Amino acid sequence: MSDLWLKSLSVKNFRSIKGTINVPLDANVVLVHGENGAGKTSLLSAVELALTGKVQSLLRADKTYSTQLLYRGARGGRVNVEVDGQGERSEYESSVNKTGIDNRSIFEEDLADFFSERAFLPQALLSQLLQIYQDSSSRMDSPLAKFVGDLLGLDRLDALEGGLQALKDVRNIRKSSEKWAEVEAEVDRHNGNCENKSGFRVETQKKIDTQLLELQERLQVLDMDREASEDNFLELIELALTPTHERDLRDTIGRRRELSAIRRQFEVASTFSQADYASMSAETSKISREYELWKSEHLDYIEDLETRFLSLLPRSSLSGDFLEFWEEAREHLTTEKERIEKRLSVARADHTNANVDRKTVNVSKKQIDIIDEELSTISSRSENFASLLSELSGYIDDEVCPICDRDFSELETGNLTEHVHSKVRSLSASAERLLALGRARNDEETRLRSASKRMDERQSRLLSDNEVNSLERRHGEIQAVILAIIKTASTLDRGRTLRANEVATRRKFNDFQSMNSTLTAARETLQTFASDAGIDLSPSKNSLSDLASQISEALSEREQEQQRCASAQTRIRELNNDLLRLVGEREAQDDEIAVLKGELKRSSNAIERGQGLRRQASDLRTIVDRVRSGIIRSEFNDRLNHLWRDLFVRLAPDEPFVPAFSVPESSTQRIQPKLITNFRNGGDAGGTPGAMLSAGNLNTAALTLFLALHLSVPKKLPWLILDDPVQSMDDVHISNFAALLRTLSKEHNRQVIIAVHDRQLFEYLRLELSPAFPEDTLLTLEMERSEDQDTRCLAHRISFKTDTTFGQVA
Amino acid sequence: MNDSPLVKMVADRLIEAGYGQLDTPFRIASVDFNFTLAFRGNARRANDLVLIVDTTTGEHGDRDSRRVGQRIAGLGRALDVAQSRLVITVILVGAVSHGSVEDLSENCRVLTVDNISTTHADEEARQKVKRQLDDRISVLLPLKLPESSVTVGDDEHSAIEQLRLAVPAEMDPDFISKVLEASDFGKEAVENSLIAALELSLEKEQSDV
Repeated sequence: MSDLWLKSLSVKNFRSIKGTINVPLDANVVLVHGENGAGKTSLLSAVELALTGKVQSLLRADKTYSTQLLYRGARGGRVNVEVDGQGERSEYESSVNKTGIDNRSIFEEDLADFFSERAFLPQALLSQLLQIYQDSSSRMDSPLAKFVGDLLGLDRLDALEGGLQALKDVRNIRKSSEKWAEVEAEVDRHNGNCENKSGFRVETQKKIDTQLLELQERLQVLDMDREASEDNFLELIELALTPTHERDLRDTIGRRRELSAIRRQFEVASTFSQADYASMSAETSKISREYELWKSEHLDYIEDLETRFLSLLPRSSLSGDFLEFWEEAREHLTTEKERIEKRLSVARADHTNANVDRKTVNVSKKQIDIIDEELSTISSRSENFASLLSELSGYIDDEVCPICDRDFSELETGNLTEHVHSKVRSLSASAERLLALGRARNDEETRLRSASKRMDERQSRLLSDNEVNSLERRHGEIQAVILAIIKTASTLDRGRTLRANEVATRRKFNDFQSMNSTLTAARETLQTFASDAGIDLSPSKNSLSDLASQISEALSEREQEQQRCASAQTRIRELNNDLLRLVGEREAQDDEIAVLKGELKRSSNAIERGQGLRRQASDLRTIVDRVRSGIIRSEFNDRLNHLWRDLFVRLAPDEPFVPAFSVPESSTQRIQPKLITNFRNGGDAGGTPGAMLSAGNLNTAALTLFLALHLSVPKKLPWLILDDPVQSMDDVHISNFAALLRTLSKEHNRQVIIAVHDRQLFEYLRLELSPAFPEDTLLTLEMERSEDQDTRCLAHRISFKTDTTFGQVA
Repeated sequence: MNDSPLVKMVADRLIEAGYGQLDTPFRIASVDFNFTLAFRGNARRANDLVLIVDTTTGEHGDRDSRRVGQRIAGLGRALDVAQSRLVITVILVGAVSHGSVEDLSENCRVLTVDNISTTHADEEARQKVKRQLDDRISVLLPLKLPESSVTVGDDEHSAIEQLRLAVPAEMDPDFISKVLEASDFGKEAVENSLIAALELSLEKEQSDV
């Protein structure tokens, strides 16, 4: 950055400065003089306020200082500094009032910090400076840390360290990188899955092993003493399933069922004995003989009777054969007989009634003819005419006919009214007769109709004489059969009983016979079974039931054996399926596990690479720390300490101790140098400057520390503004200090502003700091203040003048 | 000319530092002043007048502090008369009492050089002696600012280059160079570049299977 130069200062009503002063500052050295209270410190702090917007030394002492900056009683104050940077002027200004500071335009923060920390040494700070650095902590804002921060190039290392720090804690990484968290979670997930699957696989394998073991046991049941493994189990199972134990078992079970049927037959047969057989045979033949005898005596007759019955009634009317149901036959015949009798009696009654009705019809027809004849003689209109006439008679008043208007009297047959009345009377009698005749005719017609109807009805059922005859003949026959049946009733009864006995006995006998033949067959079957079962039949005295139970025992044994084998085979079949399924399952699991392991490996490798990078980052951080510590150590040891010593020795050449920073060797996170003193000619003295140096040299140590710090960091502002720094120095120190200031100003191009209160010192410095070359200038500012008057500041510019005392030096 | 090896050492050192030796005696404001040796600063130290007083073997009353004081006071007055701005520095070579230094200090800057061995067995001893001498008269010597162990920019002395050199070869050069580049843009940039590198490293590769 190009060097900035303070040009001028304008102050109004600021701190102890009353009124307005305008002060030039554009000189290599500005020497400010004033009695105590004249406003030197105010003048310098005005520069600070204008440039940085605050007064650091006041801030340190009192946080509320900003309200006390305005000159007591003034209404408003202002500070303004003009700065020149290679011909370009900038103004910095703040105003102050009772409530505080109003920054119009100030330095940017880094310049402001530099000004406050490295360019301006307020009077108050000098005595505290060593203590401040002694107490400096490792905090980022501590003065030492700030100094370290000012060192060249460390900002990048700090950025690296800070950035790398973030990777140290894996939680930060998770926060910053979703991907990391994702991959990490993936590893966990795959791990978990792998474990799960492996667990499943182990279980599956366990099952397979168990199944194989069981298979082996089952094979032993089948007399196959072979070790079962995954390689041979299929072959073994095929071998094991070849024998037909199951079918054999079914056969055996069937045979046992047969056997038990046979045994049941034996049981049933045991209720019969041969003695029974004999008596039954005798009884059967006796009953047969009896029945045969009865048949020879009566069968012809009975058959004849049956034929006769069948000639009268159909066989279907009987529930069975005639002998069995002869009573029923008799009943039917009786019923038939009664029916015929009834029919015959109806036929006879019809015949009689027909004659009566025929007569009635004849009479009625004749009556009707008579009535019709009379009716034909009587006018049917006579009644109407009579009523007309009777009505008309009302209109006859005299003898004139109301109809023809002829006078009836002309006829002289009486009176007209009389004539009409008689006429009406004769007409009425005819009408009554007509009614009577009508009623009579109706009666006759009704009688005729009912008789005709009865005759018609009867006509349909009237039997012919042949029919009646045939009925009567049938009646006679039935009567005869009934009688015959009644006569042979006991015979029929006996025959029926005999026959039933004969049938029953024969059936029983037949049952017995068939039982015998069944037993024979069973015995043969048993023998077959026995020989099959390998039972010795030679002791033939064995009873059948003994044999059966022996066979049963043998069969039961065989069944048990076959059962065992068959169930072994069944189980083996199941095992076959299970094993195939499980082996398939395990293979699938193996595949899955392989896939998962692949995934896991990919994720783990990724994380491993990430961790590798983190390790590198961590290594890098260590290296950064080491390099940084190295640089800081070298900055402190080779530079700051060196410079400080040089400066200190310049001011205090007689002091055997020199102050220094001691930098710990260990490369820690934040190295923290400590203040110590060394022997000037080498070797650690150890103690702190406070303990080892005199008060005056302590002040010198502080002052030179400030200068050393200023000179050690990059020169942002080439200014050294010192507020009365020599208060407790003796003459030797002061003269050396003056020489140092001159060196800084003239050889290191620092713009020096120094305030002193001592008049003699002022004069001495004015001489010592006189311009030494043509561009060199010295400004003296003399501040004065008296009561009730504004502050005055007299500026005097001293320019270079060639010293001719010795002429030019070679 | 003085034969004192110590005086010679001081004189040599001053000449080495750019001071020019003045002829003695010299006359100022019509007054002659004689000193063992006199020097004047060059260029920006042009206002420096350095006088050497050999308190051990010197002539011109050098061994008498009272006379030295009188002489210096006279010179000061003469310079004032000549309106010179020269500033006197007296180097007292040899033993001297504290009181006399105090007295002299009222009129000029006083430096003392004593108790320094002028013989040195080896280079180390020579350097030590030189440092001891420099310490006594350092206020006259140019202030040398020790060079910083780091420099700005990207040359080999910058902090970042020192770091780069300190990084062992087996570390991933690509990663290192990216992170180092990012450091120019601050902590966040470093963090971001780290995270980016980390995420890149997390990319699964075919070869991982």
